[in-house]
Amino acid sequence: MVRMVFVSHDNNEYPVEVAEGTTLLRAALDNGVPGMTGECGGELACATCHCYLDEGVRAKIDEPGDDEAEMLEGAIDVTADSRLGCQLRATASFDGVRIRLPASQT
Amino acid sequence: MEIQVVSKNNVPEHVPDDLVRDFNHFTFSPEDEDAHLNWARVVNNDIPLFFTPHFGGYWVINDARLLEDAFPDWELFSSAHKIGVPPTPDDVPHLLPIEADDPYHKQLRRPLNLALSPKGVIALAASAKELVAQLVDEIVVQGHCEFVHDFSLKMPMDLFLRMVNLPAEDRETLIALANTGLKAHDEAARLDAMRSMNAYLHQKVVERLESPGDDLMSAIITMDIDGRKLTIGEQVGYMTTALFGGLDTVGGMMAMTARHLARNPDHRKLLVAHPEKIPDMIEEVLRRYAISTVSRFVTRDVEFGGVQLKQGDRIMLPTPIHGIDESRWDNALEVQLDRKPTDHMAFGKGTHRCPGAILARAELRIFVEEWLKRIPDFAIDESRGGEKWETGTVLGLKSLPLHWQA
Ligand code: HEM
Ligand code: FES
Repeated sequence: MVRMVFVSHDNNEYPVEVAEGTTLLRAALDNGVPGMTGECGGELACATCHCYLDEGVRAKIDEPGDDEAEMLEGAIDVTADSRLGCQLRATASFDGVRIRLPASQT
Repeated sequence: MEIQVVSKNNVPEHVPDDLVRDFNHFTFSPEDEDAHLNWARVVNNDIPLFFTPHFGGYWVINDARLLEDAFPDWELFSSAHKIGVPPTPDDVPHLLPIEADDPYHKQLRRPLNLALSPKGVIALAASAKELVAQLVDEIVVQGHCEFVHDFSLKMPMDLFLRMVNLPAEDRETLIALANTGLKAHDEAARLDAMRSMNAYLHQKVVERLESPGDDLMSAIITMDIDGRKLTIGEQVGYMTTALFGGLDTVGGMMAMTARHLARNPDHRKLLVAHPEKIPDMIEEVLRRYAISTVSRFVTRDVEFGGVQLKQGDRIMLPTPIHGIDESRWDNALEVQLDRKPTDHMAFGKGTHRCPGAILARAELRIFVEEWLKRIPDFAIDESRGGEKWETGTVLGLKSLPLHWQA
């Protein structure tokens, strides 16, 4: 299992524990975390699973692929920390990680 | 409503007699009856999957769970053989990206996904607000309107014309063509309108290719796919979908929303006092009054929903049945603002899931906000004939006379 904490834009914390390999989108939806909309259901077509990852974990995982990078352009308030949650899988690298959510997805 | 069981004429060998019904989605519900209630009787009383001999014969999914299984399974249920019932003849270009399968389809979706993304919709929503305010301001002083003609056919078309940068004056011509192309019971009339629409778009595509801008039409027609440009057939087919996709559907849902509010003063009052609840109401309206119907082509012999389907069969996926299936939702017919459904099927599911969903929700929210600000209290005007329904690819109201104290 991987333990992570989703943090809403107004700093509410939602700890979750999910099986390794679960996407961050699924992890949020299945645990009732608000702020991950996932409108397209993980088809990489909507950019409403936007989230922010700290440098620490980003250094341990793959960079976004071309398709994710392109779709990210459609998200709001994109920074260097931005990723799409439907494209990320909870692995050991995510254990203990805080995933910040944007204000636009409420 | 009872659907007649018919004899086995015009029904293929592999379809058992007891699964055959006399069902025609264009005519199954008369214009003065609520089409959702007629569907509800079918979905809640009849078998989950039946076959009708109309239009060369097709299966009809009549169960919410089967609909949820069918939509995402694009390998079994292909869109590349066209999605109309009946499908358009070969000389009518495929509607893209809707009448295509992955991986080709996914590539086609890219410019649309970006244009209709949360960021793309910020600017479109500002445009929508301006157009809604302008139209409601025009009609509020009259004290009455025919909502479909005066508002819900116009507003989404105005917005579309802005998105693709085509002249606003073309609105009435295009509304008439879109209406006939999608709704006429007479197949020849439908095809005629489709062909005229294609001819119009063909000309506009050719002109735009000479001087592309930063509008959605330019983004679509100049896209690369596997390192090549789209053919003229692909460009025209794509623009046709972009046009049909966002018109009748958004307008149709606006009419469903207006009708619901006209008939439910308690919801009206609540939303006037609490506009922040408007999105919850819209999500419920999308569930309860879904309107789109598409079809698929079965790609291999398979048992689905306990029934043997054969390669080449057509199968219809009516989203209106999903939200009114009592085996799927408690008190399915009731609009409950605290239900907050996140898994309704108004926008489909899977790879073809509607790319316009974010924009559609914004348009619907803006419509309700701006309308209730100006017309908080209104009712259906029975003295002007009351509401009139129509069914088909998009089910809905063809007229909705409303009145209020001006
Ligand atoms: C409330 C309004 C709307 C409803 C109910 C709706 C419904 C749907 C449904 C059910 C599908 C899936 C079709 C299938 O699986 O074959 C779809 C696809 C599509 N919609 Fe919408 N739609 C709406 C608004 C819009 C808007 C505003 C646009 C564009 C501006 C749009 C453009 C499209 C396109 C291009 C597709 C094809 C997507 C694909 O094949 O990948 N729709 N829509
Ligand atoms: S859920 Fe739509 S892009 Fe991730």
